[in-house]
Amino acid sequence: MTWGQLVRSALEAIQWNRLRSLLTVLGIVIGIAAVMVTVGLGEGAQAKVSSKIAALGSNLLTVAPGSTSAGPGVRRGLGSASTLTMADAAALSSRVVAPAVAAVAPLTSQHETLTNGAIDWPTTVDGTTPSWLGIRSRSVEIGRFINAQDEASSADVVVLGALTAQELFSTSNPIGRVVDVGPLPMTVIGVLTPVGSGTSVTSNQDDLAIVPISTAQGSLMGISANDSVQSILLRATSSSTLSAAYQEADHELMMLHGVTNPANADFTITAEQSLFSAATSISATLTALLAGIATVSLLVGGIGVMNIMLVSVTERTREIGLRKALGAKPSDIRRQFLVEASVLGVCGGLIGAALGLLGQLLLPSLISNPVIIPPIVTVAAIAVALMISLLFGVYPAARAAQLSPIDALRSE
Amino acid sequence: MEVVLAESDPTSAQDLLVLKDIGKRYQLGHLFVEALRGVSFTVVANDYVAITGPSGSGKSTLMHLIGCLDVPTSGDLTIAGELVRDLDQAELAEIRNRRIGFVFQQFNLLRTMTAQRNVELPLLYAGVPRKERRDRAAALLERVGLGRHMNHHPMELSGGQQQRVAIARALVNEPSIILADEPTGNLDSQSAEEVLGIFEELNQLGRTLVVITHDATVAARASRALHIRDGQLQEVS
Ligand SMILES: Nc1ncnc2c1ncn2[C@@H]1O[C@H](COP(=O)(O)OP(=O)(O)OP(=O)(O)O)[C@@H](O)[C@H]1O
Ligand SMILES: [Mg+2]
Repeated sequence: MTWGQLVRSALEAIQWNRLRSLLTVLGIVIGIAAVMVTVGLGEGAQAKVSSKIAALGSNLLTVAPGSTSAGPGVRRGLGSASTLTMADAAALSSRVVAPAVAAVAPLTSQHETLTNGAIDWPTTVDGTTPSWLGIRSRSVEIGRFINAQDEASSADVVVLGALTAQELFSTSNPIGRVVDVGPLPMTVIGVLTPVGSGTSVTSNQDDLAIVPISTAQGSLMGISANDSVQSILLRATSSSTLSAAYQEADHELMMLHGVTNPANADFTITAEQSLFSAATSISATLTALLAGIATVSLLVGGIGVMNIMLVSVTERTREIGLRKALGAKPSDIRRQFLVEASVLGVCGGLIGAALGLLGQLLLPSLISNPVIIPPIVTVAAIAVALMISLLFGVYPAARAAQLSPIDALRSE
Repeated sequence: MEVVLAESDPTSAQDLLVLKDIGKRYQLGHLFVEALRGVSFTVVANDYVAITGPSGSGKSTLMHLIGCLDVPTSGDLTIAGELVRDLDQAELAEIRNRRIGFVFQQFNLLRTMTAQRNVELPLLYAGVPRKERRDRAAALLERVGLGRHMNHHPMELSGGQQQRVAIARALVNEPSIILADEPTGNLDSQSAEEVLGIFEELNQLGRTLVVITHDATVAARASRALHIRDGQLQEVS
């Protein structure tokens, strides 16, 4: 018998036993769909976390005042808590001092109420430099961001987060309008592109106001010539230079602050990357767990195929006997059952894959989580379905082939 | 009696079937059933042999041995010059496929297939190409008077029609011997007559037939009859 004939007669047998075939396939279908959706959920969660982290700014380091190794008896920072200055930020910007640092943005942050006529809106007001935009991987939707000139002249200008702008100005265009930031009237020069709510990873990134850091330090805080900053954001040239950037910044700041013993450092550098890798590893663990469960369900599906193929062999003993009486060799019978099992497997795989892809389309709207199924997973799922049915089809097929023709024919 | 092995070219062998002291013993737990005890006979080409005997005498057992569906516990069986004892599973399958055409009392058609595809089955295992299979099956169904029922499934055919499909299937691979175990056992007299008519015609065309029956009128149509009782042969005429 040729393979074409085998497949043809397998299709006939499957069609003839529609219900039984359907039940056989069901286990595989559920297994495959489960594996695909599971992997898709895991990948989706990972992608979601990645994009959230990326929205925070990639390759980011944050320098904050104060020591991490603040055990009892260890002296905390020198002087006030605010030990970082504009001079520190300027030093770190130097290509020579810190070649692995691509961009630096000093940051001061305070809570102020913004007022537009009768509308009050309390928010976070960040004083920073133009490089903040790039470091935070943000963009301006309308208008412009603060520039070096605003910075130099301590201009009374403000850039609003999308939500802040909406709260204060509703749908009307805020550009050029004046808003009171605390006691100070400032001109709105731009609105940031919204990034969506960041509730799970960070506070709402669309609710904030940005002013030049010189403005913040000067008129806003009411203390002139105060050049202290609350934190300094650093971006490494790439994720691979993150630790180099860390060391360069660490070394330079220790020198500037006259600290010789690292344990006495009056500042702390943290990498957002660590948050990223923690989040990634959590979702990877989750994916592995779910994939494990799905694999078990695939195995159950495979045993289902074996079970039904065995029933099929018993049920069709007479047919096997007759085929042998007419000249079928053991290998012919073995192939017949193997081909039947694998046709069932491929059908189950295809239907399961279709269901999985359907899940990819429908699930996100139900669970508000992305489901990303890489094409390779679809292909692999179908291959696995085929392999499982082949594997679990071998035993029933071998049993069928070994039946003696007369015993088989005589059975009722 | 000397063991006569036919010449190497089986088609020219006169003794198509040689049974020498064939015995078959079944084991049922600790109990042994001697279904056949030292059966010897020879069937030559173009013979038409009826095998009769009471129920349980061993007729079917004998037929299964001749048809290579089972192997004897003792004695030598030679089919078309080949000693069956020496053959492995695949070779036995080949003998069943090319040398033997089996007609069963219960027809044994595959209900999932049309009459034509049922008839094609032996050709499938003989590796005959599809077109030729179709043509040969169609020609034989035509010949047994079922030209208009080729695409019917067994369930859509009468008993007599099903048995004629089974005969067409037995003939399709041009076997050396046609074996029929109670071919008319499940048929009314009209259908039985049709089947016997076909057998007679086949014999006139040079075919060799061995037919099991307990019906004396069926046995009378054959060239000769062998009578079995308690697993032993009693030649009648
Ligand atoms: N598979 C088997 N296992 C055990 N004993 C068997 C087996 N097949 C047949 N026998 C026994 O062998 C003897 C001959 O049986 P066989 O079927 O050949 O009889 P038969 O002549 O064909 O009878 P009938 O006319 O009823 O079909 C019987 O005693 C039967 O019980
Ligand atoms: Mg019988």
